[in-house]
Amino acid sequence: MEWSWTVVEAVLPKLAQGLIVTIQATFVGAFLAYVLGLGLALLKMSKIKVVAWISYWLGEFVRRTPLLVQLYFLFYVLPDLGIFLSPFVAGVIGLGVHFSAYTSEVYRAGIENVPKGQWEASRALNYNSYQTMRFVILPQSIPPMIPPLANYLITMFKETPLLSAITVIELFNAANIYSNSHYKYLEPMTLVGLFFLIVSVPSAYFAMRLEKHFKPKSMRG
Amino acid sequence: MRSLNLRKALVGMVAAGAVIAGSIGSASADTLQKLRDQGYATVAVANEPPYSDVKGDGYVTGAAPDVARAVMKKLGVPELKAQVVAYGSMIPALLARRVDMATSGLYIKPKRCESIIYSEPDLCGAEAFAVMKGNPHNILTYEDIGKNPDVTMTTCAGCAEEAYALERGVSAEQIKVFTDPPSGIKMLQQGRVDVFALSGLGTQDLLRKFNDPNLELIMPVKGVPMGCAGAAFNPEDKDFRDAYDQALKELKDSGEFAKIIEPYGFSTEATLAVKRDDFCPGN
Repeated sequence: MEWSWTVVEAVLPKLAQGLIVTIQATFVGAFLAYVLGLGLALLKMSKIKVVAWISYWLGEFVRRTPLLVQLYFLFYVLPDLGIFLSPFVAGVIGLGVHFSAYTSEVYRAGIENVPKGQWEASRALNYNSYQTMRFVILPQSIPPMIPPLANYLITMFKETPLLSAITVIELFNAANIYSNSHYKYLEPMTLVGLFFLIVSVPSAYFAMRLEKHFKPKSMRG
Repeated sequence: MRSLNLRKALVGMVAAGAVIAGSIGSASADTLQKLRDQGYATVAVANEPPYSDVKGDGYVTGAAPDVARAVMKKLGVPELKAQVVAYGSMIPALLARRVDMATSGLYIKPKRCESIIYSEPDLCGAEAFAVMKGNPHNILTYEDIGKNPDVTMTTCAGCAEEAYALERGVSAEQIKVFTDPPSGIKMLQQGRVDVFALSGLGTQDLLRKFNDPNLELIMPVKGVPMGCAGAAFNPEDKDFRDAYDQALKELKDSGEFAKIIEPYGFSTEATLAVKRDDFCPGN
């Protein structure tokens, strides 16, 4: 087993293209996860019992089944039902929906952590539910949500190789295709790991900074 | 304090790496003797009937493993254990000794012969395409795909068909590799690709199983050589390979060989007409 720079040179452009797809999938997927997650969280807290119950179990269903199975379903089964998604679209929907179940818990926890007195105070001020959310609850609950949401972004980034199962040529799949026809695994897979590190280590550091920044004032040292 | 911990961790990692590296890279001595002692050989198969077929209970059959089983019996190894490996990963699996041999209709190709050694050919067959009924893009050869950049095809990553396509003017963007052959047919049915390319008998078998009247078989594909496969070995196992060849020859001469492969649809005549040296002289 010997490290070959010629292989590195041959595979790098393919990996760079794959990295772009990986990053696109991460960000589009994360955007979906944040938006759908917020919707799901609000539904879960709905006063209408049936809505709350259905959305709770919907979230549990998505969270308790493997992402890989969900991707296969989106890619191979939905077309039989007349819904045809391209590999990339199926991939980001899979990622987005799967992680929205997680982010919804972040939103819910954030909102429920606002002390009860604040809700009562809003009512005392005769705020309607929009005003309560907009001016009292959300300004207090969003900052502590940001660090965990940023962490889910990093997790999603690391889950993108699963999209290779539905023929999306992201970073890992680009390396795998090269490896399969050139019988070289050492260099491509090392580089894939390296690329992931190059992106995820600074992002993790950034998320840590966010966490420090948004720590409640009372807990700051 | 922090930097010290980091240094400690690094030293630990390097030490662990050295231990692991030390434990790899011995073995080879007498592979055949080792297999006789343990009573079985681990073989790589691709699970692509009729070349190789892993049954629900793990029993490996199909033309290539059945030939290998008969040969290995002659050599005193009674059992085969299958490991499903994608075509593209078979050579690394052999080189890393994750498997003792690959018996799955791995075509004998000069580029592969640089890395591994083959037995004499055991299975030969034509190539095929599957397309939508009526062949709307009129695809009969790989050149036809290359000429029409709107047409896309699927095949397995690292298999002979991918190389055929690239050598005949198909651009890499037109090839969407499948994860396994049935998924490839599914991609064709759903219109994700226009052409499915694989070995003739393999494609035929899949179409029979899918039994979809909207699909059509194009066989043989003109302009590509007949693919001939052999059992594949780690290049250090030359003695093992030579013993295998000897036993395979006995099998062919006794007529038992024909009895094994013909029920699967392979032609004994085509296989006996070629030698390994026709593809990879001196391998």
